[in-house]
Amino acid sequence: MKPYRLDVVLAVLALVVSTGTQVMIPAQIQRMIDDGIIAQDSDVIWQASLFMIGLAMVGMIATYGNAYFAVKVSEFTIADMREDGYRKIQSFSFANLDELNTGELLVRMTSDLNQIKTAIMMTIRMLLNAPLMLIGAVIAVVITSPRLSLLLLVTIPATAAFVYWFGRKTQPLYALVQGRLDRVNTVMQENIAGARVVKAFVRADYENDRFGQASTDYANENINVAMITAIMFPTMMTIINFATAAVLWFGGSIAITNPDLVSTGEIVAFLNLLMLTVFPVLMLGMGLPMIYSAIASGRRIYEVMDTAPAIVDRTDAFEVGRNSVDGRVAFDNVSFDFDGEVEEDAVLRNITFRAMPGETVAILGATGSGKSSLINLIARLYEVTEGEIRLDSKNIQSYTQASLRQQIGFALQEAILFSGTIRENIGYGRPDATEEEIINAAKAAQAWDFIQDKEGGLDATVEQRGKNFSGGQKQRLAIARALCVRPKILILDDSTSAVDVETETKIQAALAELMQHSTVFVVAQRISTVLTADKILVLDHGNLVAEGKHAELLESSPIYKEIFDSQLGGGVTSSVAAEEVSHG
Amino acid sequence: MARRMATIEDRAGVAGRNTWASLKRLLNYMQAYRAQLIIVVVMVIIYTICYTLGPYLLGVAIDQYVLEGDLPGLARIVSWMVAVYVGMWLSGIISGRVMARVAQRTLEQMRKDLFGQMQKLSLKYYDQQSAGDLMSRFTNDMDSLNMLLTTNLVSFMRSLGTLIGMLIGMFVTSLVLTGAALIVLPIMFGTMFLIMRGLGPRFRELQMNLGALNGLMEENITGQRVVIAYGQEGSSMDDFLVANESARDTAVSANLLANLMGAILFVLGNVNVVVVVATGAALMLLDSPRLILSVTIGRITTMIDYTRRFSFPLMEIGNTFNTIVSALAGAERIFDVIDMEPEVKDKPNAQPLEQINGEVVFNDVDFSYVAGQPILKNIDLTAKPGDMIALVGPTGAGKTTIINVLTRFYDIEKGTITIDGNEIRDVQQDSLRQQLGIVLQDTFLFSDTVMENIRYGRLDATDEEVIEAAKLANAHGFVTRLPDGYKTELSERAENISQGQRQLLAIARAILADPRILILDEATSSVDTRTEVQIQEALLNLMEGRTSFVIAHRLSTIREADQILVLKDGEVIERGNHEGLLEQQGFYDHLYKSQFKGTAVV
Repeated sequence: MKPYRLDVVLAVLALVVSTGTQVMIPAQIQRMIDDGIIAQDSDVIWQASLFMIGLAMVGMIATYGNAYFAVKVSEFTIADMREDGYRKIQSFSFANLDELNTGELLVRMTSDLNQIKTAIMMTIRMLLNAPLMLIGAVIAVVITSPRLSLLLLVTIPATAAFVYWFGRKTQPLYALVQGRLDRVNTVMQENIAGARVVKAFVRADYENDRFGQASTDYANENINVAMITAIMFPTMMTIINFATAAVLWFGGSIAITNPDLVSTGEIVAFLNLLMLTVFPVLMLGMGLPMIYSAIASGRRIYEVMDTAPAIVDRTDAFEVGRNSVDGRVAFDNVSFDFDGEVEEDAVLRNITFRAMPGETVAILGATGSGKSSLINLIARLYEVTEGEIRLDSKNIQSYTQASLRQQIGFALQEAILFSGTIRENIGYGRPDATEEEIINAAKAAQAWDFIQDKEGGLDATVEQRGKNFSGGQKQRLAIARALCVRPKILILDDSTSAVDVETETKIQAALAELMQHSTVFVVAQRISTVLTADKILVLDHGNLVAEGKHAELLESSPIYKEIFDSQLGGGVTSSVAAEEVSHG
Repeated sequence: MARRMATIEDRAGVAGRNTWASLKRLLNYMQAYRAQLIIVVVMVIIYTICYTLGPYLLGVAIDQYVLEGDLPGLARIVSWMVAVYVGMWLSGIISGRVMARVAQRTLEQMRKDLFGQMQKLSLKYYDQQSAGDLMSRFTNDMDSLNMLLTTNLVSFMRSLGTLIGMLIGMFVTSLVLTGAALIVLPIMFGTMFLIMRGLGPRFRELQMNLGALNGLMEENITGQRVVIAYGQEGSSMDDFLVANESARDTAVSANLLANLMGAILFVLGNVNVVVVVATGAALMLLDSPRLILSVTIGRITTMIDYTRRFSFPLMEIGNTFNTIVSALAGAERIFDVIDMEPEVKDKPNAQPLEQINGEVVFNDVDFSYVAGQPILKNIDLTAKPGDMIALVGPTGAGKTTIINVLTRFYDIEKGTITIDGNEIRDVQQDSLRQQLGIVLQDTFLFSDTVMENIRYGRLDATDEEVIEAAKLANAHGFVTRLPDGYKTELSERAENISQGQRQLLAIARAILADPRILILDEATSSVDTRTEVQIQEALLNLMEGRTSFVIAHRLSTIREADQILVLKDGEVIERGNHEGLLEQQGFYDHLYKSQFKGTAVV
């Protein structure tokens, strides 16, 4: 809100004026009654009337002015907060994303922010007004009738105590409500994304129960809050009303027994001023629940804001231009674990190897042996726990993350596409790519044929997460996207698992051509994919157990041989293939 | 009134077809709570009466007791006032509480119905609908309904009642002064009407922009890993900024207009007071003997009180009217889904499929996702119980589609599919799928523990059975290495375990389900071959005596198949067993050899 300090000040000024007019109006009414009607003086009535209308006009302008600034401040502040939140998310690394759940993040960025917006709006429009009006009214009341105003000594503390109790009671409940909403949304999102699995296992009843539970919990929590908020409004009204009755009784009895002390006009004016306090009190009654819910929401947003990005650029990090590195990659004693501690069961332990431009490095190993983690480290998607990774003899941490990743083309395990056109998706890593470059990338990824079959070609629509493409097509588009960057380092993380072998072979041939000056890392399950690699790294439970070419490894590494045999099923075929290799 | 109706129609016209029908449906939902609703209405009436009686009694007290100096009378009327205020307090709390309960239960039911309906809808619906849009029906539309039912409806009723009550009170107090007060009223209504008409399109635009912004956030946050890997945080930010700013600016413009109403009503309200006071004064000065023209100070005070309070419910009605219309539009979007006919439905006389042996026959099957673009053409196939059928072919040949029609995720267009002689469209979908065990290409895990994710295959399985299945699927090893073993919580898209590990869990799930027919769609594509061999042993044991359909790009996987179907462009172009197909030297032979092409290159 800080940048809008001036607007807030103006809003408050406008509010003061508008409140001032509202406080002054009852005095005019009193004047009309006492000096005009009772004294039978029509001039006074005219004057007072015109003055009152004048006041009302000023009040209108001030009220609108206040609204103008209030709307501006609340909408801009919330847009800024949303921007900050989003920027924060952009600064997150994979480790942060592992901990936050998308559904929750979205609830915070939408529903929680809305609560805050409503509260800021209410505060500037009404709640700031409430104390002002109350103070104004109190001053006016004291002037009008010091005696009767003693009553406020009871009313004001009673109201304050009630408001305090209310806040204490409801605030934790609001946090619970939002928490339950998170759960409803998560189950929902999962069921949309996993509709096929739910159907395949005939689990509609189970899911209905699961969702029903989340939905009931949410409703119950809402009811809990509502049970308390329902008291708020009527009770605040009642406090005022009792005050009215009290004024009437005490004021009235004094006026009857001792007319010199209190006049009827005084009582009427006093009651009028009391009515004036009704409005701000009503606002308090309605506004406070919002404020309390906003505070709870604010906490949830700050949880995101206060999450430290797991990876930050060093202060002395430098930019490196696109394609201005050679692409030499070196791992020196690299260990890694998600929890940042290298123990017996660390994901990677003491990995050391070199990769040179023009080389294809294949990474092989059992499921969970650390293949994906290893290549994620190259792009600094996670931070190494121990050891050092160098690009062109410099620690990758000495580059800025953005410029480091510009050197790298990455096709992830899961091919996530964005809604838009095919062109936008392929050019994602390099928005300035020419048509020709995009087409070349598509051709190399063996995607060009099916793109041409699509209506609109490169401009064909890609739906959210690319769901209008088959698994194999998505993977090929993701590879094209990686190639389009013309990276010095290309990383393919099992990115052809849904592509048939023939197409894959073609992709490999095209890569050999296109990437001859780049360093290529390939994670793959198929032996055919890795046969031609310049270097094969064999991982086993996080250890680098063998390194070399196919033929060497076949001799030296029992694990590699086992993988090879398992793939080719042993027997005649495998020996044929092996023979071909040795003779090739 | 007719013009007002017209604007409602206009609004509804854009949001949907039938706002009034939605209102009726909504009321139907609340029918179960008829007794509670009656209580609410009664309480609102009591509240309104008390609310109106307050100022009236005040006027009487001043006129008849304070000015007359009647102390015991004053005491009496003050006690009456206290009683009225207590009545107002209690009725206010009761109506608020009862209504909140009704509203939350109604919304809960609607959410459940919507969710239940989504379970019924076929996959085709999910293909067509964007996830963001569906989510927004659950969040935004439900939210506005929530606002309507919990606060707006009661305050609308209160305001309306208050207005009526105050009008009556005013008439009783002074006919002439009421007439004077009503002079300004048409201007108030007119202004409200004009502003509200302008608000409609602005708020609609706002909803649209907000929808776009939320959609963008959803998609980008879900795909954040790609954004990071490509270092595209900057451009993602740019897209966001544009959407964020346009949402902000439309919000400012819509809200400024909405606030204009408050400001204008403020001044008009005060003008109204002046008119009443001036008229009152004039009448006092006139001092006419005619009863209708006679006024007292007390009455004028009461009238001023009424008039001053008048603009509050009026504004309230103006505000809520808008939210009511937009909430009903939201309700309509919800009912739209609830009313949708599932694409794939059980026939009315569908029988449950009895325990099967597993004989599957496709007879001349045609199918297309989009009319006119056939995906499957004249598919014939016969699988005897216990057979292993492999489906082979390039991407997009229709392999997964065969699975999709066998499981009845989609209904075929021509031909028949029978299991043990039962046409699958004649049996209940659930009973069909219960006998199929499916491991899909896209393994999906739920945010729950590893144990529960495997148990998803058979909900009544014991922990021991789950662990047994995990062992068979070769998942036990890595699960026990996870921080909390089987109790490890998996995140939403299970990003804390690898793709291959996800597949192992999905296989364990299918093993636990113990189906008669087993379907593996690229089930082991991300599992390393060594592990795959081990799983395959387990699967081979499992397949023993069960019919199985296997899709795999790795031909080593399917060499054991009793029957291999080679698909291309939706047609079966070759069929036979491994050796037979190699002898044919056709497409399969070509595919098989290409597997080792890499070797030749070296």
